[in-house]
Amino acid sequence: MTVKEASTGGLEQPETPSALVIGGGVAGMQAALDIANQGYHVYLVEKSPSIGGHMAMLDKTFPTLDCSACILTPRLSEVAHHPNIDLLTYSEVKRVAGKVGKFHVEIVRRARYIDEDACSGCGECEKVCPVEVPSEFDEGLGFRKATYMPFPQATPHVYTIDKRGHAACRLACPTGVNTQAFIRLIQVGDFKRALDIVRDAMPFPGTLGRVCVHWCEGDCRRGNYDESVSIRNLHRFLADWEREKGETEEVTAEITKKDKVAIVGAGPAGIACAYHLARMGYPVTVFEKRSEPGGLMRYAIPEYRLPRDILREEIERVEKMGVEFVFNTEVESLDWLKEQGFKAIFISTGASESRKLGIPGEDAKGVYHAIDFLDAVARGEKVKIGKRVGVIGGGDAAIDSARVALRLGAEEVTLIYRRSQVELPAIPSEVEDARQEGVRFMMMTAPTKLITQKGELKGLQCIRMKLGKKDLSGRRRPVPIPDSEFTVALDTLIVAIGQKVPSLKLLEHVARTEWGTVVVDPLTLQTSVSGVFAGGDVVLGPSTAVKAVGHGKEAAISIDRYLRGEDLAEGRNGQLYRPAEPDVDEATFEPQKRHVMPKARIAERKRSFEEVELGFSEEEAIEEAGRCLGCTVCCECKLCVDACDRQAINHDMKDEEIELDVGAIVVATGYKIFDVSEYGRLGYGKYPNVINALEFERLINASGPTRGHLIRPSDGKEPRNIAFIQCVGARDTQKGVPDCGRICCMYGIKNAVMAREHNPEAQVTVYYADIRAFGKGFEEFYQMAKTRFGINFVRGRVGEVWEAPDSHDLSLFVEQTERDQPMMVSHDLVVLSPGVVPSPDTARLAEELGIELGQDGFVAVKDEIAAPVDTGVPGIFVCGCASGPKDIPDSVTAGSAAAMHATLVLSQIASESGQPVEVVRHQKTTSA
Amino acid sequence: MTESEEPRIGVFVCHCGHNIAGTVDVERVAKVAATFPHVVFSTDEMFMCSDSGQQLIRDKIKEHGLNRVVVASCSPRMHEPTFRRVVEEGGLNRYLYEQVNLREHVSWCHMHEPEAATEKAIDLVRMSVARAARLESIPVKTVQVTPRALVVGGGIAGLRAALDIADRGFEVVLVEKRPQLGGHVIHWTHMFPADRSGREVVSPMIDEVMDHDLITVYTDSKVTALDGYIGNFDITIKSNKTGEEHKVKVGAVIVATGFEPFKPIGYYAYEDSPDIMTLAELQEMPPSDELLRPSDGKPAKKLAFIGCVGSREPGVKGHEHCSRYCCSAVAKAASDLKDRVDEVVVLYQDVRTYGRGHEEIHRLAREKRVIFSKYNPDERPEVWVKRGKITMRWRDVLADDLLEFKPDILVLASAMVPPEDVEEIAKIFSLTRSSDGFFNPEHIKLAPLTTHTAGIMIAGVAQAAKNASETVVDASGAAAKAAALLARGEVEIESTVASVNPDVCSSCHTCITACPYGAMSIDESHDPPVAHVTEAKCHGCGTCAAGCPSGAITMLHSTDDQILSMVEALLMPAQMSGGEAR
Repeated sequence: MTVKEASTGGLEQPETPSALVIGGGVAGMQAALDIANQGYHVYLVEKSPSIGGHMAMLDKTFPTLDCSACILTPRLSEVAHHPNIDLLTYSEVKRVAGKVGKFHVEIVRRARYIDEDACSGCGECEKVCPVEVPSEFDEGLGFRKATYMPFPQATPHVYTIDKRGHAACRLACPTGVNTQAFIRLIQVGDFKRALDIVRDAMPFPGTLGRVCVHWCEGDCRRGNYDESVSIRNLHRFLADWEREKGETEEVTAEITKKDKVAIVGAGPAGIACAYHLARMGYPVTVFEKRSEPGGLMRYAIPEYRLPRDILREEIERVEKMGVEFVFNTEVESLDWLKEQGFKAIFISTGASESRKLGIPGEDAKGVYHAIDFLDAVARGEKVKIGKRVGVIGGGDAAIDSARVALRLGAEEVTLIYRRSQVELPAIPSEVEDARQEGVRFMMMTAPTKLITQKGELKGLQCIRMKLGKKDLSGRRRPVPIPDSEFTVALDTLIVAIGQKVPSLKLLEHVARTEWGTVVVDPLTLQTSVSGVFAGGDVVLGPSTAVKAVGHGKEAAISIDRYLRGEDLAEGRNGQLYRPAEPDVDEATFEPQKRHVMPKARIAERKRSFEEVELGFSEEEAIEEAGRCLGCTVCCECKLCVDACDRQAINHDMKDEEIELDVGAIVVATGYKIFDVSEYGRLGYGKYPNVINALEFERLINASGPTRGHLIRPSDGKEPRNIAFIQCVGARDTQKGVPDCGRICCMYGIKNAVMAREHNPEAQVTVYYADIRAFGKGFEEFYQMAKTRFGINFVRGRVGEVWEAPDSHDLSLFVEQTERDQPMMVSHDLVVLSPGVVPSPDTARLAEELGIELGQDGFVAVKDEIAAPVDTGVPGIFVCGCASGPKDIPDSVTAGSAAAMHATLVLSQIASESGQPVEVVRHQKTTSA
Repeated sequence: MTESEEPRIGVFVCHCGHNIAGTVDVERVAKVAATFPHVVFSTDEMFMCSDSGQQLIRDKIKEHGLNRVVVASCSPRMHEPTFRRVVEEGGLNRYLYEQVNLREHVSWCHMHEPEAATEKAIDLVRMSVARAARLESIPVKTVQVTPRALVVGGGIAGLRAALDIADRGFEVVLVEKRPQLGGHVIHWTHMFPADRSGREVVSPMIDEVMDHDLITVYTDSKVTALDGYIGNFDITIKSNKTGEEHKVKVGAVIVATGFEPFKPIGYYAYEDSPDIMTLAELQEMPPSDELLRPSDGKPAKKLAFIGCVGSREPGVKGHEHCSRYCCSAVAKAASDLKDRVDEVVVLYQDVRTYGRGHEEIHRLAREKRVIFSKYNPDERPEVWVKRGKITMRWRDVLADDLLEFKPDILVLASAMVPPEDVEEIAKIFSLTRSSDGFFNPEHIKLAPLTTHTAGIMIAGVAQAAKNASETVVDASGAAAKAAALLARGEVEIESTVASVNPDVCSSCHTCITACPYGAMSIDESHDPPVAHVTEAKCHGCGTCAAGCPSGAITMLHSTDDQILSMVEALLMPAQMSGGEAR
């Protein structure tokens, strides 16, 4: 038992003793009503968004062929409106303690992200929701949105947002771009909104869309099945689309706040921080030592990967938002900034100083260091390059240098790297491009000596390496192979072995590590000086643009909190989430390769700085977006929030735990149908025209996915010759279902009759073992099915089902027990009538309640004859299919009986406490 | 609402998903309806019965000051109570509501003629709007409930129901026609699936009933009359022996009158040998280590069962139904007795061991080499007795062979049929019977325990053939219904009853003879004496009004005026002129 104060989740404490009913199917509803009608209070807990259970899914009911929904709806309404019933849908019983008369129950009310009281069920959210998933209510034959009501008469009549945790791609992104949402919006063609979503996280959809390392794609769950979604290229597509359409909305500055913020360094971190602060309304000034903004994105990434216009326009956009840039200005002291009236400072000066090899001859003519080399080329300086060029290193700067050298006229470019291809840290697609352009790769090789003549580079002495033990980075450390030295002749050598933080005066004012990087709180990015924050390479050491952008965003959040005097860390505990796994049926999953980004032809691009990757067309982008598995179902695009007039939607809603005291408990957790795919020989899951009975119910239902047109799944044709196969997952000890399914004969006959009703031309055959038509009016219905509806009943087991591949028609091998010979018959639709097994939650719940299960997995009753609704635990009762298969009248009757026994407990409590039972005068009109 | 108030009618046309809207142009119906007299609001909606549909009605009543509501949707059998409640919640009397059935009467039966269907829908709505304009409020009456229940039948169902109600704190009167309680079950030496005798099961219940302070037991007695109505039934109980009568007032009644095992006279040489017996008779045989043949008391070596005796006979009145309990009971008996005899043969049509664990019994019997042989119902087994020896011959469907067997004992699994006096019981409690001869519930799916007579419940085999376990569940369920009624303390009664205009009544007594419910009498205190309606007894059937030669009787909610207005609206639509636009 918890000691915390019990939360009743806004439920009023009832004045009368209460009962808990678990399960809102027809049995649980009846139990709840019969307890409530006696004047006691009932909490009815249902796991799904609506009460109604399986009955709501059925089309007609045997033996009277009443419309199931029509007879059920008044009950739903009665339960929902009963003053003595608190309906807790989308909720689960977590813990139960205590004993008869005094049970203490903990219930989790799952967040439906929509306020039940505020929602009017108008469906505006559903209209705008871009996410479609198979509808559970339609047995996967139709679709529903991420915000949905399972069926039109759902009770309570409110929507539920199906949101399952956190998407791996989004968790992987340092800037937290809501990947799944923008991809989904691309898929539905709403590029404008998609771009807005990218921009909510960062200002560089076009830039990062080209140069990002895209960890998102590494974590993309689709990659577990075939290939990850091309996420980076998709947000690049959005940026390209906006540029091409020219439909850019005019960006205007909305600086509403007073506190000035200074940012030192106009690289990706600094600009991202400025961007987010400007969005919040802060006046921001960015100081930059050099003459242009962009940092290494501008100075080190070659034009053929990132056209300068793209970067420039994206930075201009930030400028238009009211951010002031001051160039050619090196800030040397924090005090100076404070004197200028800045209330908070963000340092993002980067790590742009190239590391040296530290071997003799490094200052010879013909030796460049990558960043200086790329910088010079980017500035348009004339850089002398030889015929034979060597590049040392394996990072992006090395690949960039090699490809730039090619474009500057080098005849032979060799990249020298001391580990193997596998360890190469550069973006794989860039490596591939370089290889295609003709860059040679010399792996497992390290330089030992520069060979110079008169101060000019002539060659490089190298040594072969092998991989030894793993080092701290987890990579195997390369060790030299003795006596394997050799020499390479070179005119030019570009050293690309990394960068470091330059020693700047400004940095002397804050604490630094031994490597010269600034020490910050990892969560808030605050430095040793209050109000001074730092991020990007100056903190991380040489890293990636996207991490820097992510730092900029986090710093902006910290600065806002700092300026408002709030706690910097609260709620940002850096919690790691387990990524959501998508709902993929591997049996039916169809692999589809990712779209390859079109590229300039190799011959053309080798000598040109024109962009290599050409971007997706709209069609390609939409198709690629369609590959997203939508791991979390709701993608949080929040279109629904705008669509809801009643402000009922709250995406930050949390699961709520409530505690209740009840005197008695009724278990009505129902059943699920047997998974007929366990009989591989019957072809379910393999052949489209083999379906199960519940799917058939949805197919013939007027509010089902086909609006009640009985068509077969493979081609939408009306079936002419339908087979119903009985006892699938019943009376079979091999499959662990020894008992009779009890309802299958009758629903099978009913379905057969309905098949004839829908399609009077069709031949309908039922393959059965025994027809068990035992209930009131059942036998009469069976006879009517034979005589009036002309259903053909064949006593026999179906051995196997095959499909004709072209027509998708089916052949059945039937052991017809009333004839000598087995026979082969053809049908164009086969409906399997599955047996009944306990609902998945039964075992867990039984353990929590301390009640026993039978060998069949259903709840055991105390005495099959004398106490058929009592469990072994006093005060806990069971009804409906929780204690074994039952048809609707038997379930309803058991619901009433369980209610009777529960009220005996409650009346005991009431009489002991001397409490009068207030009986609610609430009765349906009695019909004459 | 006074009669002088101008009607302000709201019309709500339901799509019922695709059910109505797939055939009928509901939007057009709603638009045309807006032009009918007194209609101030008209619309169409996906599901009127859904919460949002209901809310729409409540909102529009308020918004437009509606004082009559017409919903054009499905059969009133289903949703009239729903919408009556809704208009009540909206502040109107429930009788100011009118329902048009566009589904069963239009879309479902004219699926292939959408245009004509739409015209018909418009006609029906016009008629109902005309009637709605003439609807009047009728006060809703409540009566007190006598906190006592009557349970008829002292079998396992009656015992369980009586105990549950009494334990809940209400008085119970239990009436059993036989001298002792316990029904059939008490005689059975073993029950399936439990290995217990019926006596072991019911004896504790009988003791509890006899000791219970709140239960009064009348054995060897019958209910001979039931008067009154829900909440206030006047019961007459008559002792079979003394003829003494007791009058008791109760609020609720549970009829648990059970069954008789069918005596299969004329079936399978039943009367030709004492060794041919019914399953019930087998179950009543005294327990012994060996199965003894009744004819000579010698141990039987060969045993046979025939299933579906008097059950599952298409076209034979009262014997068309499956008796539900027998297959499992035969499987159990066959399995048990196989240990004591050499051979057991079971002839069946279908083996219906449907219950939890019953298939296990069936499997066990087969494992013990009980022979199950399927016969064709169109070619029933032949049985004859020659010099005391039984011979049976039948065609085994699966082998397609004619087989013969000479059992020492033949057990006929005979049907469960209603007791002899079922017709009498039906009449007393105003119950209807279905083709199986047992009583009809209020709704076969969702209201299996209540009946069309408010306040009267049925439980156990009185409703349909079933086993003891199912009967006990029924009993507790019916007890819950009774307890809810008794706990409530008061109950609403139907207000759509006959009403006499004393100025016109000629006191001719025609209505008194016509009324099937005894609701009409002569009020002698009136001068001159005139006909009088006991409203709580009146079912509103209208027989009296139809028979009254003076036209003195009006059926509330179905007045001549209301009905004629509908006829006029159908035949003379031209006279209808436009009302206020929506």
